[in-house]
Amino acid sequence: MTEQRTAEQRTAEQRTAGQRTAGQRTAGQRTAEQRTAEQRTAEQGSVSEAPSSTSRRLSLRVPPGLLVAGVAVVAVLLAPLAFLLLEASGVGAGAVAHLIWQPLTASLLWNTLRLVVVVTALCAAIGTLAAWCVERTDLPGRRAWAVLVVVPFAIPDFVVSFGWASLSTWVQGFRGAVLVMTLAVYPLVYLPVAAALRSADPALEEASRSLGVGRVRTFLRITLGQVRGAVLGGCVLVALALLAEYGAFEILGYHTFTTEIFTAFQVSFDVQTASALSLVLVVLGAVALALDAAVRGKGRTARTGPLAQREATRHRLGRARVPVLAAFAALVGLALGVPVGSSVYWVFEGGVHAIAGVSLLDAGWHTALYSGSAALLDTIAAVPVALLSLRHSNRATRLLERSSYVVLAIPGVVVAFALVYFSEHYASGFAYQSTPLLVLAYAIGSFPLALVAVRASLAHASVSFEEIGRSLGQRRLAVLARVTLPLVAPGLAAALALVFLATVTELTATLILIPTGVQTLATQFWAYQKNLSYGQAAPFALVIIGIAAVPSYLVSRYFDRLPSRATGRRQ
Amino acid sequence: MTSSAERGALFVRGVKKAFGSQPVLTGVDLDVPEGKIAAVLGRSGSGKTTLLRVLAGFERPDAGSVSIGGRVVDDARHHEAVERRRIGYVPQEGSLFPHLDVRRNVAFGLSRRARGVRVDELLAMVGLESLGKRYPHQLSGGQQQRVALARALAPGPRLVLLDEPFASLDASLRAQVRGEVLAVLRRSGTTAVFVTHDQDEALSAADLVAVLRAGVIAQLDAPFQLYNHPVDADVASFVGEANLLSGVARGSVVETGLGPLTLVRPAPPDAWLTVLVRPEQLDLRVDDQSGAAHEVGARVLSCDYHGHDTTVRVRAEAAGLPGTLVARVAGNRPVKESDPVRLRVNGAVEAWSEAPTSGGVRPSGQDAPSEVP
Repeated sequence: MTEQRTAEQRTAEQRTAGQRTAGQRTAGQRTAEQRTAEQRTAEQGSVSEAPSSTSRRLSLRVPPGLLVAGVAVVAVLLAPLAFLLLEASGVGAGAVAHLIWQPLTASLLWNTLRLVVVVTALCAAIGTLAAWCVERTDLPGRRAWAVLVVVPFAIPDFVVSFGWASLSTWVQGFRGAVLVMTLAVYPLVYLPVAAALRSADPALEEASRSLGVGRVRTFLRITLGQVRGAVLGGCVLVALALLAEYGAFEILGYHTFTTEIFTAFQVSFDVQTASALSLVLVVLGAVALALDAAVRGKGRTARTGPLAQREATRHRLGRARVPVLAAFAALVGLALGVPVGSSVYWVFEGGVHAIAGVSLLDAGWHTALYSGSAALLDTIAAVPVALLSLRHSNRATRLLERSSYVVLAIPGVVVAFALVYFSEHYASGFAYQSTPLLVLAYAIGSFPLALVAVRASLAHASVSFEEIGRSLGQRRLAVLARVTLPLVAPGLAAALALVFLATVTELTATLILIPTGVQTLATQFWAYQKNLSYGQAAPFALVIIGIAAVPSYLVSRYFDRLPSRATGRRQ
Repeated sequence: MTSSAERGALFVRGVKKAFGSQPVLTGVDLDVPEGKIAAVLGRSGSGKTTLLRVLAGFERPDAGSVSIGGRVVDDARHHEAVERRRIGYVPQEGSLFPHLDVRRNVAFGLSRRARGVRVDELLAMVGLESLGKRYPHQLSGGQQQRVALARALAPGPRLVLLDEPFASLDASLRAQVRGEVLAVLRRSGTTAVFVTHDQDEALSAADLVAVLRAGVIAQLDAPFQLYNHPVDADVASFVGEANLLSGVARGSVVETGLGPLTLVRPAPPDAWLTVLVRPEQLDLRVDDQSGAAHEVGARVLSCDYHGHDTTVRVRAEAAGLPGTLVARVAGNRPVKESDPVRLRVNGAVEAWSEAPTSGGVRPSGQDAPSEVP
């Protein structure tokens, strides 16, 4: 692990994620940007072993203020977990075991696990094949496909679910969940695999072919090997997304831990059951995260030569061209066309209700307020953690940084639930259903997104630029304004946008923590949808899609441009 | 030993610096006169970069003093901030600001008024007039390095510091960029200190070479002096290839396995000496059985042919000599493996009194770990 972190530091400046489009999911999930960023840095860890003086520049003394700030941020991040454990210990181990050890848990576990296995397998297959076709074959229109196949990523799962379920009663239960979730989350595999394929060295395939190994076996032994880490990493993201999902399953009538926790807490006020189930859910998330770490620890895709490489020669699809095109059209039609088309259909079909323009504006304003605040909070909070791990790297600061990723294993419903527990037990209900608590829940869930972007931007604003600025006679403040800020600004903007997008599509924690009498786009959509007022729900779905899709494209542009900007070297 | 009036652009006394419990510099003294270019030469890990960073002001020394242009910038009481030192700093990779184009990189340290003309002047000086609008990633490594130099020279520094400025360049490009950069430095009359682990680079490029060893300057001299009169055997074998023989002093000569050799300076009689014979001093003649005086028979072990010259390794038959001696002969002389030859030493030799056991051939470069893989 240590090895990998240092590798990441060395290469963070050179490379970060590159993908063409990305959107965001709910707060408890993480985007493929992060996945991809870590993937590529891990893969290229052993590439540049130049005798850089970076290690000398790392100061041995960590500024105390920075350390305090970093520890405080991580403490807040891990607070929900602590509250959950406190709650459980208050109930007592025996009682918790009793609550967990019952048929309901078994059926939830069965529901959750079979869904995770089936959807993850489907996503792995679809994501990997689609990425390979786009990156390595002469697929006609691949630039357009590259964008179209990731746009579904920007559509919240509950909107995909709504789009399908409102059209046909066939889409429900397990089969509905498999269909909807596969279409909603396969980009989590596609994005990192496509990025890995783009950075993988085509010379390996050529070497394999030159050694007399055929095309198919070369694909299986070399190409798949090169992207294995990306595929598995994407699968872990899919699993985490499935564990955290609430809205989509609620619409489909499919029961998992998350829906049951939500019901126990929000409907029947059964706090003990909710916390016991949360514990199980967090353990499942932790298992997924541990798998992720184990997979990444084994990344052995060292490249010995310089980074420069030729573009891979593309395989000819030949007679397979038409079937492959049909498959892409079907994928995009099902994942993008149906949810959007369905929403548009309901807007016109349900035209009896005048579109509530005022409530749309009001909900939009609150969404912007909460998401914007969370984005600002996360971006500011990520700076000390990123600075500590980049510029004062030691075992402790790396551990600090890694612990912040633990929140990935904590679904939004658990974060919200733990914050409510905190508010009731330590603040006598003071902040319950208040703006600060909701913003805090958003910020905790989305923190890793902000950290990835801030870290990448700080990494390429290396200390040496500041030193040179000062050696040219400029004072610290002037250097900050003329060098550091211009270098990190795009990354900070990306962090803001990432968190904003992730929280706009957040539903679960929002439903629990939203101040009384206030609606966001997501909750208003949810309320209409629950009343089967599809015509009124649909405009909200379309607005959310619009908000999520457009800026996510801009964010992905930033990550695409990062490598060349970061190195300052000839490409 | 130097009066303050004669102090040059850089005057360093007793600088010490440790990182944690790890001492890096243990008492560095260094003088560089106005307008001279000095190389700090050392193996990797010898503290070269730390010394440069102390001079720049990025690190504060634990002890000792640093004066730049006659002004104390570091001593026990005082540590002048980097931005007030009027130094220019060129890091290994150039580190051009990636968000600024070439012109604005060069203009960075200039006041608004001074910019226009001065930037043109500097770009012309480094021969990059036409590239002002380019961004750093659109430049080659050598161009980046020249822009970095122009940027460092722009505010008119009293001292320019370069950290392994040519190490990141391809071998084919290195000599050319080095020549260009040094020409610019000399034309502008700027005092400069550059750090390198490449002894060829230090000898050919600098007016003065400081050999940094174990945290102290082992020797500070002009390249000719350093190569021909190193202060000890270790410096001798670090700077170029060296045949180290042992011998006994007899007035102005020393008796060695290669016969009596003239000493550059007399040694006390009967003292045991370590004698330096550079490969160029070892004259090698195809054996014609004539057996002239003071010649030793030997057999060629291997030849490395370089075109302009040949590095020849021979085994001498006489007693009291290291197993292998290195000679360098002009490239137009045919020498083959296992040829019998006769050896003779040309010119006076440098020698240091030392224990007689320390003899042996230590070809330089082989024990110095290479810094660039």
